Formats: sequence, structure tokens, C-alpha cells
Amino acid sequence: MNQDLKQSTDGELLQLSRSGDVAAFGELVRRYESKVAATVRGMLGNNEGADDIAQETFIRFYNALDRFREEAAVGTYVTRIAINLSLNELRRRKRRRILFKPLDPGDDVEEPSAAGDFEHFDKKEIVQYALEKLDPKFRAVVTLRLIEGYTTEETASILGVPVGTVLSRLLRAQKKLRTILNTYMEGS
Amino acid sequence: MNRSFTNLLLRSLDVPLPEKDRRTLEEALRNSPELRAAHTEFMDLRSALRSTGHESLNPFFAERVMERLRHPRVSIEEFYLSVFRFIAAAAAVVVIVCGAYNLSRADALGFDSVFGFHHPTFQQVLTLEAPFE
Repeated sequence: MNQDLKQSTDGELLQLSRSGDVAAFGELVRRYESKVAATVRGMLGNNEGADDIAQETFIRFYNALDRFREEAAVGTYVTRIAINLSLNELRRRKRRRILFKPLDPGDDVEEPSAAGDFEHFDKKEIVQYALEKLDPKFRAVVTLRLIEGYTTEETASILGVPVGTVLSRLLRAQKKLRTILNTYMEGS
Repeated sequence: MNRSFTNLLLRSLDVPLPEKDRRTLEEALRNSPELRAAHTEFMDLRSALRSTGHESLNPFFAERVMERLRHPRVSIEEFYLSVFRFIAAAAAVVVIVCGAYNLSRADALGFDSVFGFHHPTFQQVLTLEAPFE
């Protein structure tokens, strides 16, 4: 049975899921878990909150199964949900940071010191740090376009912005990333 | 650096460009060391970012999602929201009942009658007499 599900197409799994086959939806979750992981970890970093947002992405997808008309691919659709939830989460964290700054240092990103105390940070961590320093709207473009490899048009469609906006955000994000990375990598 | 060349450069990484655009970009790359540097930098940045790509979540992710689907959990925010809605609805009912009671005992219709307001006279204020006594 599980083997059958593994060989089923997305369309077949969607149909089974809509008729209440939970195992079929489970197969969809397994199939798109890595895609959602790349999106939420790119947006939110490597923390517990990212796992919750990934779960919420699939819960929302499950609740929207009847409305999902398959005009977009399943991967694109779940990525869109994941991006929107991640942006909401970042807004929520920002609000919380403003309100509880002295009490809640938990969300702060560990900052590598530019003075040379970066030996214990590898290149991957520095890049992740630089990514987390970007404004969420730029981070979304970088995550989709550069990490996940969506085309400019697909990125624009997922974010609901014009192609020109994606290109200009990409250029600005690239400049900011270059500045941050140069600061931390020149000395390493 | 010309912005249209930069955009062309970014687009070339998506899909093969049309012949005319491809030639324009190749020529621009040949003539502009700045554009060549931007191209190299962009490719380096892309590979650095891809190296950070996380393709997995915590173990048993799918099982945890399925568990949440079988037993939906109520977040603390949803809990507070439902309590707040209940209190707000109960308060609205109390206000309506009290307003109706006040109206039934009042001589005239009006805002003051609904909320049971009484306007003391100057004499009552001077003698500190309660207006409703």
C-alpha cells in the first residue's frame, strides 16, 4: 500500500487526500518536506520555530485541499504558504522583540565578532548569519531565487510582486550580503 | 554599471536568453570588467547560499504533522481569543439587559434613561444630597 502511494502522482495523492485518505496526505508531506524545510530555515534560521512553521504549512495546506485547484504545482503552492507564514512569524518576532527586549534575548542571532573571534563559525554559519540580517522581503527573494533555485518569474509569482521588483530586491540583497560577508570573511 | 545589463545577467541565470539578448550580454561581458566581476560575485554568492540549504526538519516530521491533523491543538493565542470573545459576548448581553431594565423604569426614552444617568440639581449638589434619594 505504502509502495503504491510512493509511486502515485501528486494529482492522485491529492484526490485520495480529499476523500479522507490520511496516509496519502502523509506521502505528500514526505515528498515536499525538504522544499518546505529549505524555505522556512532560509527565512527563519535554524531554530525550533522553523519546525513549527513547517508543520503549520502542511496543516494549512491540508485545510485548503478543497480550494486548491492545481493551477500551481504542489511544491509552489506549499512554498507560497511557507513564505507567508514565515513572513508573519518574522513580524511577530519583531513585535515581541520590541515589547520584551530586555526579557527575551532568545530570538537574537549569535553574532560573529568582526574583530577576529570568528574561528568557531564556519563559512556556512556566517552566510546564515548574513542572511538573517537581511530585511524579510529581501530574504524571501534570496531564499526562493538563490537557495531554492526558483526562476525570477516563479519567485515573483510566489511572492505576488512584479518581476522587476524581484530583480531590484535581488540586487539590493546581493549588495547587503556582500557588505556583511566581506566584514566577516576577510579576516578568516 | 548599466542596470539593464545587470538585469539581463540575472535573467540569463534563469532560462536561456533569446538570441539577441544573449549576444548583447556576451558583448557587454567582454567589454565590461565590472559586469564580469558582478557575474563572478553573483555565482560565488549563489553557491555560498546554496551551501546553507537545509533540506530536513527535525526527525519524524511527517509523523508529527499527521499527529497534529488527528489531534488538532489549540494555540494559547486562540485560547485567549475564544475566552475574550465569550467575555465580550456576556458583557454585551449584560449591557442590553440592564439597558432594557432601566428603560422600563424610565419616564422618557433617551441615552440617559438607558444608562440610568441622573442629573443632580444645583441645590442637590450644594447640600451633597444624592440625586436619586
